[in-house]
Amino acid sequence: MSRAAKERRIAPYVFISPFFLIFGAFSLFPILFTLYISLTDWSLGGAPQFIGFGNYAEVLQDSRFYDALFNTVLFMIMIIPPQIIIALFISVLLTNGRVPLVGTFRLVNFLPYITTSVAVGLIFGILFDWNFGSVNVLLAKIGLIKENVNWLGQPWPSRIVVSLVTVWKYFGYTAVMFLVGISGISRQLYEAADLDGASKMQQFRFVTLPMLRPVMVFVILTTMIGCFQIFDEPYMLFTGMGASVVGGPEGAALTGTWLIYDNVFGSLSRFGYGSAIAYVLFLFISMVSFVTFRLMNKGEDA
Amino acid sequence: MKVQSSAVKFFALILSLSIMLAGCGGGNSTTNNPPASDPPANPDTTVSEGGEKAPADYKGEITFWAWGDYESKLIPEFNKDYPNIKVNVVVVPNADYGKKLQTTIASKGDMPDVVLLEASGRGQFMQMDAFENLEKPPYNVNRADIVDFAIPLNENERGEIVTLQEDATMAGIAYKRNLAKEYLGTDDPDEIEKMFSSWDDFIAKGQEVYEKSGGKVTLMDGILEGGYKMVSGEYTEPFVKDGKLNIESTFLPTYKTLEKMVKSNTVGKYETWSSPWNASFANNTAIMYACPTWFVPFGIKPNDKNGTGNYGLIRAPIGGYSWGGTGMSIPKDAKNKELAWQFVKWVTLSESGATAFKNLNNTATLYKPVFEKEGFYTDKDPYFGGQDIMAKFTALGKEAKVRPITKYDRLINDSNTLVLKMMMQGTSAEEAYDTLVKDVLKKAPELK
Repeated sequence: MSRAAKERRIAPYVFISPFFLIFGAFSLFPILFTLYISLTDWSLGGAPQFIGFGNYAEVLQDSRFYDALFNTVLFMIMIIPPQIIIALFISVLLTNGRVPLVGTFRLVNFLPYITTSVAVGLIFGILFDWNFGSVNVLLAKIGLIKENVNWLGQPWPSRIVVSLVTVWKYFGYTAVMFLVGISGISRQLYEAADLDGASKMQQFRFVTLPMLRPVMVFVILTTMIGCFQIFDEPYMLFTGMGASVVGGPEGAALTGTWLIYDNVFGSLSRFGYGSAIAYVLFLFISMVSFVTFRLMNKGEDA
Repeated sequence: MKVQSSAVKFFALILSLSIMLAGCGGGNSTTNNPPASDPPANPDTTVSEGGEKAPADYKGEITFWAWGDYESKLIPEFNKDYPNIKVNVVVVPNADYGKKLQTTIASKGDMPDVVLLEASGRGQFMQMDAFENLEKPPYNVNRADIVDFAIPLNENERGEIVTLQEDATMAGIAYKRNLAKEYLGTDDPDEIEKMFSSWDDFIAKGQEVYEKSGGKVTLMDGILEGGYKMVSGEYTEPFVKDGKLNIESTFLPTYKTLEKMVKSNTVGKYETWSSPWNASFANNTAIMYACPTWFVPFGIKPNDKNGTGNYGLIRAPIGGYSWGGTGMSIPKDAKNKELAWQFVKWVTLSESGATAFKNLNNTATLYKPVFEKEGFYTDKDPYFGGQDIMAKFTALGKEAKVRPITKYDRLINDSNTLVLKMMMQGTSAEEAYDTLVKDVLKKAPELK
């Protein structure tokens, strides 16, 4: 083999190696190491001791784990539909060609996404404060409420606030996904629909929506996974005594990631157990994602 | 636009899942960067018998993790006695301190020579086998040198002194003189103290203040966390005893008193450290605040810059109690233990350390020979209208009580925060206590 041919064979590997090196060091290694830790009893101070599947057995009996799953399912129901409807509405609005300053609006919608979670949590925490927050003051002025709502102190109101913050923060990101999807749809389809006398609504229903299906699948899956990981915002929202109230009022906003965080870095310092929860969650999310994926693609190519 | 094949789709799915899992797993395997100013290892790592060398003979550098400047401003004074020990301060924000310590210990990373352990999160660290027992040679701490009430704050559950608290954290009640005059009829600390000999007096007066002000002013700021600290301060049973939960004798009576305080509007709805609470100092809506020594420089003064002369300090109806405090510990993996000990000893157990602490932080240390010295701690603070608050605190320290620290304290306090939030909305003491027990046992079923 000539030198040039050899180099040509090696070159692609050299070019893609940075990704694999970084992926190996920062994704693959932690994933495998977490698997190892999850099989050990490792808490502060002591060396990790191999205990097989002991942690996993404990996870399946941990009532907090099921609370976290339940909360996550609630959050999915409360977050995914509004987020998708808002994002879809905005992206359709921004692509119909009649809105001026599209770039500005696109940026404005995206701003919440790039705002630090800590700042978001803090500001919403102040807005929704029970006794001194602007939201209660406003609602009372309008006459909607007679007594202040303890937004961050009761299970259901606090879930609503968490959902609201999450939707607010991520709808811009989802809208960008849809924007890309919509601009990828061939103009010819709309022209053909126009010729057939389809109204704008019908075009949306029969052209835009079906063509957006792959994007929709992606958005729903990532948002579902995101719901398992809701953490930063509620962590900042529910504070007291200068520290966070784990899981919010009565644990109403405890999510999988928060449970892991609390076990590993919180009051318990159980590295092994936290890792086991991470893996059980991983299996659970894989399962849910797979089922969703199959369901959403049913009738298309199965 | 149709995705080519289900294989491609599934691959995309797996990739996104691995990204997700990397998010989950990443936290567990965090390795800590060694602090930038890590000193070169001291060749002489063996610790000498101590006490023999002159201060100037100790030479080298130590690394010290701190979150504020409470200690670092003492260093120039320390260097007057020990000119050849260089203390390198690595600032670790308070919020991250425990996590950083935890991950460094777990990953066997480079430990600093001196660490700080704050009272609320101290239990779990003290219980580990990671810090030097300071009663053993070469340290040889003598318990008789520590102010009596504070000894349990330095001990782990095995009875070893593994930390030395630097600040004396006895507490009383601070009040605002202008409001006291208006609603209590006097602003004299002695007279006000006489009005409150029990919580019943306190609550009766609280109701009166609330009614008199038309609901605008409350006698105290709130139950979370000042009210709780003050009322629970009289109970001294450890939260966990012989591996079992032991909280009834503390929390049930505390919650009963707090319930009455909430019902009678003796307390407002402020939560300590929240921004409305910060603002409450200047807007005259609460008369009293639970006040340990450190509360004066960290709680009151920064929040009420124009409050000079408007504060007073009294003893709580239960007498002296303790709230908070920061301890210094030497990790077993520290590289320069001998030098580290000189610094710790100087701050916590020496007269010159106590003098510097008094002058720079306006707070007493727990060094007993000085603590009990007549006239050493005196500070007629103009901010407190010339009241000698240091002498007052020192007197409170002589009768203060503390609860021994356990590994589970932070976990139980986390649950307690949640319960106090419920009590602010009117939950009864019994229900609050049930919730507390349930929540604690959910997190730590082994305590049943």
